[in-house]
Amino acid sequence: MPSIEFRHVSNYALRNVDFKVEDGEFMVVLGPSGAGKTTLLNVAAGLVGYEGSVLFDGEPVDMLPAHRRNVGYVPQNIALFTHLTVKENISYGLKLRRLPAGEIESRVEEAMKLLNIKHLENRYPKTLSGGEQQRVALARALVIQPKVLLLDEPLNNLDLNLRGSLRLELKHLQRKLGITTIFVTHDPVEAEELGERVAVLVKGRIVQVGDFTTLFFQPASSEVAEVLGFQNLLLCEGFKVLSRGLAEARCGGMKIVVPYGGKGVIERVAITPDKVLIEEKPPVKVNCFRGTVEEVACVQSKVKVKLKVHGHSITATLPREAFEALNLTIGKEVNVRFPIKHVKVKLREG
Amino acid sequence: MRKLLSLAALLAVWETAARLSPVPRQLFPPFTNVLVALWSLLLSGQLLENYLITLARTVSGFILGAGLGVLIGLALVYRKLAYETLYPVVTLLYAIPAVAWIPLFMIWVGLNEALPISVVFMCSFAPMVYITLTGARKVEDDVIKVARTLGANDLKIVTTILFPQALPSILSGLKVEAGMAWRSCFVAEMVAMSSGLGFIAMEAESILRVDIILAVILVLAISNYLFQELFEKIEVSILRRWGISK
Repeated sequence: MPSIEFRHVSNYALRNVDFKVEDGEFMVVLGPSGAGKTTLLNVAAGLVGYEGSVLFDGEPVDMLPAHRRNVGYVPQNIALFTHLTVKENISYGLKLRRLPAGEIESRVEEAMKLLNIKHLENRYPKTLSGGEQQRVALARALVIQPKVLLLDEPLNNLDLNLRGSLRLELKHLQRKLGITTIFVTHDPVEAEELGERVAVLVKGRIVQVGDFTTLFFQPASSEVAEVLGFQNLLLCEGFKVLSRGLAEARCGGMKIVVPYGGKGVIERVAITPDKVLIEEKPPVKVNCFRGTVEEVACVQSKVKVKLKVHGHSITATLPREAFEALNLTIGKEVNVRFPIKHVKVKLREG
Repeated sequence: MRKLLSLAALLAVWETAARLSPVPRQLFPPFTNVLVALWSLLLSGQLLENYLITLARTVSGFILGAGLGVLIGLALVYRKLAYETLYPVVTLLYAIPAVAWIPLFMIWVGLNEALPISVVFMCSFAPMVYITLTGARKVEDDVIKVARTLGANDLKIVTTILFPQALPSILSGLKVEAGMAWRSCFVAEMVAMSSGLGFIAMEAESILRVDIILAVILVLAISNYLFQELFEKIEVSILRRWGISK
């Protein structure tokens, strides 16, 4: 699979974008709404005009129109062809390439098996669930054996559970096929779970590229920090190794059990707001602390709750239903839990 | 069943009203008298001959007008230049009632077969451009983008994406415009032709045969209905097949 490189790419939404996605890499482009994420994918696909250069495997493709670039593209709203069956949707690109009928048949079968949608082959898109549509769109993009796969927030319209499982499946699929992939999202959780590297795009500029942990603990600017949901960062005053893979970090009165690789000194401990749990009866007592609700704010379908825990200001974001079930009011005392697997640590050589 | 019942009720009211009315039957004939007139027109062969003439004029004008309308509509949606240059002309034509062309065509085309066909053409063309354009413009940008990345060039996008996706709108339009085509042809024949259903109606008027006029109108209404039903059936079957209920 080729690499894809953007060299000084600019247009109406992008400003001097310059980064490279390595051969077979899963790169996540993370940015807020209006940052230019979709435009970046459209540039890679040749769907919009731009200045600068896009290279596939070192070769400029700027002169190639979209229909000759051979990229797999899954847009945010999936965009299945409603007048074609699942099988016809998947074979569309192969028919345009005028491949022999036998080859089309075998490649479509293979793609349907890969995505577990063989049973849907004669159905029309409007009769499929969101998750099924998602799989069909992926199969349609992959069956043409594209040089790069471009995914534009494809999991956005799915419910939370489905998003989680499809995310894992997508990652697994990408590893299996080794296809160079750019996945754009505004969701730091998605970026963390999917991306080998993450490029942060803000106002049309790539402001930082790196692995998620590096970005999280060493954001290059306040913009990056904001995009990553940079909150709940605690200074570690000391730690002790509990067992292989775990340590207990002391952070201003809290003893937090954290994942620990066994090397280095723990400097900071962090947890993203969506991983902080507020529970009436916590199932386990590890990493569970008493806290007080200080502030509540509704943000779209979620609720942001600010808590005071052992003198630290901790932010949690909850789905609206969970918030309503907990009946949280300002001043209420609650149990706050940091699940070990979601706690991140920043280490220093030592 | 309900459709048939309402129709039967209407005919019964007509029959009773005509029989009880003080208006002479020659001016307001009962439905059964109209059926008798229809039967005698059929037996004489006059009805079939003129019906086929009207059918041929309507269908040819409709196919030419609607066909070209769909093609131009697709071109307009896809090519910005075509849209900018032709759309104002189409909008202008759309506003003109088809029968308004009759006097002009009588001079330009003459009193021959081309006259009703031209009128039907004008009746179907501009609305179908407009309807196709509206239907094709509903196709999401992302659908076209995906087709492009899958290898579709301009022509393939029009033929394999825009046209089929605009098809439900096009069929809805054809359903309405088919009725308009019959009506326009009928009027053109009444005004300027010496054959066809419209001509029979005008002939009957000159001898005060209201039963014949109503018989012809009945045939026109049934033809119109059958055309609309045909397009309705195609439209519904396509939408059901695609999982878009109707």
